[in-house]
Amino acid sequence: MATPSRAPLGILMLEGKMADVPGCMACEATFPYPVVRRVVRGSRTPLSAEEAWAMLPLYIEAARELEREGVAAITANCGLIALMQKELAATVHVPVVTSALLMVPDLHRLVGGRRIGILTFFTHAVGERNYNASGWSSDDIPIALGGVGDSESWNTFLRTKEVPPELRTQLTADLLAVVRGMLAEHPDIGAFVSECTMLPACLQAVREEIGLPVYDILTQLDLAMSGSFRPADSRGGPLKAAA
Amino acid sequence: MTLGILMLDGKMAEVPGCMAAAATFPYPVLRRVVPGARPPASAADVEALLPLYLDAARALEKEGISVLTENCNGLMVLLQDRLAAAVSVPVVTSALLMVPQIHRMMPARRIGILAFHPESVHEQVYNACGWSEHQIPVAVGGVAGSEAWHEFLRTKEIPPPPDTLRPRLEGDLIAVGRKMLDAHPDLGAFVCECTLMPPANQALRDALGLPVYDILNLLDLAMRGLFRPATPQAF
Repeated sequence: MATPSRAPLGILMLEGKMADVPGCMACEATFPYPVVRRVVRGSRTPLSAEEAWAMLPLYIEAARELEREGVAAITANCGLIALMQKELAATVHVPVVTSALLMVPDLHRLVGGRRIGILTFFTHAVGERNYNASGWSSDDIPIALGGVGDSESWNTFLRTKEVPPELRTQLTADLLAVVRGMLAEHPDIGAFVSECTMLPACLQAVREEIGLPVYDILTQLDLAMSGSFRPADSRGGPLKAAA
Repeated sequence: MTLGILMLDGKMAEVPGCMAAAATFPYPVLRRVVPGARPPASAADVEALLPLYLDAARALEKEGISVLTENCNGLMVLLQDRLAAAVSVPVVTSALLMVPQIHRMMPARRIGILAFHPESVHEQVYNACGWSEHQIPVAVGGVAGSEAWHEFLRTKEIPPPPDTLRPRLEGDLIAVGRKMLDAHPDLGAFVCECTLMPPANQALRDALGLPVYDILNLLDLAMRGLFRPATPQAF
C-alpha cells in the first residue's frame, strides 16, 4: 500500500533574522518531518504583551493560509504569541502549539504531583499570565522558575543568533548551572519544561547530565505531529519521514 | 533510556502497535509480568491490584527505567496518582492523560474518545486523568459492536493475508470514527484509550484526515523528555 505523503508542520515566523541553529525553529535540521515556514508580514519582535496582542489579526490570517495549504499542525517562533494561544487556536481546525507550557498540567500528573521546573530566558518575562494562557495556574501546580538571563553566553547567542563551537560549550555549562541551582533549591522537581525556544539547542546535553526528563517546544511539536503519523511498527522511528 | 512496562499475567497480543510486540517501540523496553494480575473488570479489582503493581513498579525503577507504563489501560488509570507518587520516573497509565493538552491545542473542537467498550470510559476515569467532561467537550465511541475486534480480543493475533482480519479491523474502526464525525461535525481529533487499537490507528488517521492520539504517542512524548536531540534522526 502506498504511504500517503505527510502533511507538514506550519511555523509562523516573525520578520527579521532568526537563529538558524539545530534545535531552533528556523533550522532545517531541527524537525524529522516536513516543515512550511511563513513569515508573518508586518510582524516584528513584540516588546510587550500589548504589542503581541496587536499582531493577533496578522497571525490569524497567516494561520488560516497555512491551514488552507494543508499543514498538520501550526506553531510560532515567538514566546509572547503564546499569550494568544486560545484565540489563535480557535480560528483554525488543526492543532496549534505556541508554547511547551501547554503540557504542564498533564506532565504534573505523570510525575505524581511533583514540582515542575520551568526553564526560560528572562525570568521576569514569565509568570502567571503565561501559565493562564496555557490553561493552568501556579496556585494549583507547584513550580520553580529559572532562567539564563544573567548568562553572558546566552545574551551573546540572543544578540548574534549564532552558536560557534566555543560558545556552545559555555551555553551548555551556563544552562546546566541554572538547572543544578534549581535542583539544589527544590529537590522535589520531577521534570523540567523549557518555555524558551532558544534553549533546545543545548537541552540534550542537560538531559544527559541530570537524568531527569526535560520537555521543550520540540517534544511538544513532535507529539502534535505524531497525531497524523505514528506507525504501529516503529523500528524505522515513529517520526521518520515516510519515503 | 528504557521504557518499563508492567504486563498482566497471561497471553498478550504480540502485534506491532501492541505493548508486548518488540516492533512497537523505537527505544529499549523492559517488560515485567505482574504475577497473578488478571484484567480488572471493576474499580474494586483495580484497587486489589495496587499492592502488586506498586511492588513491580519499584522493582522496574531499581532496574533503571526512564518511564513506566502498563499494558492494560482503561480502569488502571484509577491508580495513576498513587503509582506515579511511588516512583521517581514519569508514569503513564492512560492516553486520556493527554486530553487537556490536546484540548488546549484545539479549544474550539470536540475530542472523540475511542475505547473498546464505550461504557467503560466516563467521568470517574476522566477525573483520574485530571479533567472533566464538564470542561472539555467529548464524544465517546467504541468497537464493541464489531465481530472482528472481538475476534482480535479473543485470539490476540492478526494473521497475515490472505486472512481478512486486518482489513476488517481497520474497516470497522474507520466506520466507528466516521459515525462519530457524522454525529459531531465539530470533532477535531481522536484520543484512543484502548491499547488494542494502535495496530489499526494509522489506517484511521489516513482515512479520516484527523489526528489520532493513542498510548504510543503519549509514551513517545514521555520518553522524549530523556532523548530529543536538536538534530533528530530516527527518534
